[in-house]
Amino acid sequence: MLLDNSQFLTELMKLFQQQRLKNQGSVRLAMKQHTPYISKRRLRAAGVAAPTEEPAPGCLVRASLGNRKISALINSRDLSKFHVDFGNVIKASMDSLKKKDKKANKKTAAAAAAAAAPAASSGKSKSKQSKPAANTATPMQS
Amino acid sequence: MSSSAASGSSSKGQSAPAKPYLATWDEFAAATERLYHDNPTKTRLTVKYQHAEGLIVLKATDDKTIYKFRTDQLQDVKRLEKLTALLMRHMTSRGTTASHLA
Repeated sequence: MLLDNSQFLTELMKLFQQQRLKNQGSVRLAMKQHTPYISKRRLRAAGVAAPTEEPAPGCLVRASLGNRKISALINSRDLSKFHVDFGNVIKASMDSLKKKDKKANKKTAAAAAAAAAPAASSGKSKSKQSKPAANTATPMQS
Repeated sequence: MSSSAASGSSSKGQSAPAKPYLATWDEFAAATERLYHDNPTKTRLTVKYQHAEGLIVLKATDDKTIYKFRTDQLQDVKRLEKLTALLMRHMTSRGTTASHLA
């Protein structure tokens, strides 16, 4: 079903909520460039003159969950507002993912601990000496 | 994995495009942009989000080549948002339509 931008975003939010309630199924999103094209026959039937320049390309966005399908065509005019709202919907809805790995935190913690341990073992006196004379400290440490 | 996919596609000719899962987000993003610049009218990006499994699967294709990427990391949602914004901007600008191929 082709909707306008704001309707599309509302329906997209509903799709994500529905998925959360059922806790199954996948929300699929797709985007592709699409240039709206009206055939000359239709224009003649409508009695409108053909536009002189090529129509501006749009971005077709589709979303679906099971049987429900929605879509919207975004123009360059609506783009800035749409991608902000779209980003908000995405970030708010795709929340069942894992947060930053604890392994990464453990690695950094281990590295920090390893760095701290030799510094502590070398003694505080050395560190005090190294502060005023940084050049002499490096050969001492190596 | 990529080598076996390449050999598979060469033996079958052009009928079976390879489906490699890329290793990192940056690879996928770069590949998608490249694909779009080469073929703006045919390239499309697909995202499949599974809430129950907490998984996102991304696919970028121009009907000849396919790039896929899977993730379960929250930080990739933010990156996805940036990538989609970038692609939408490309798609709605006149510079990258068929006119530039003519």
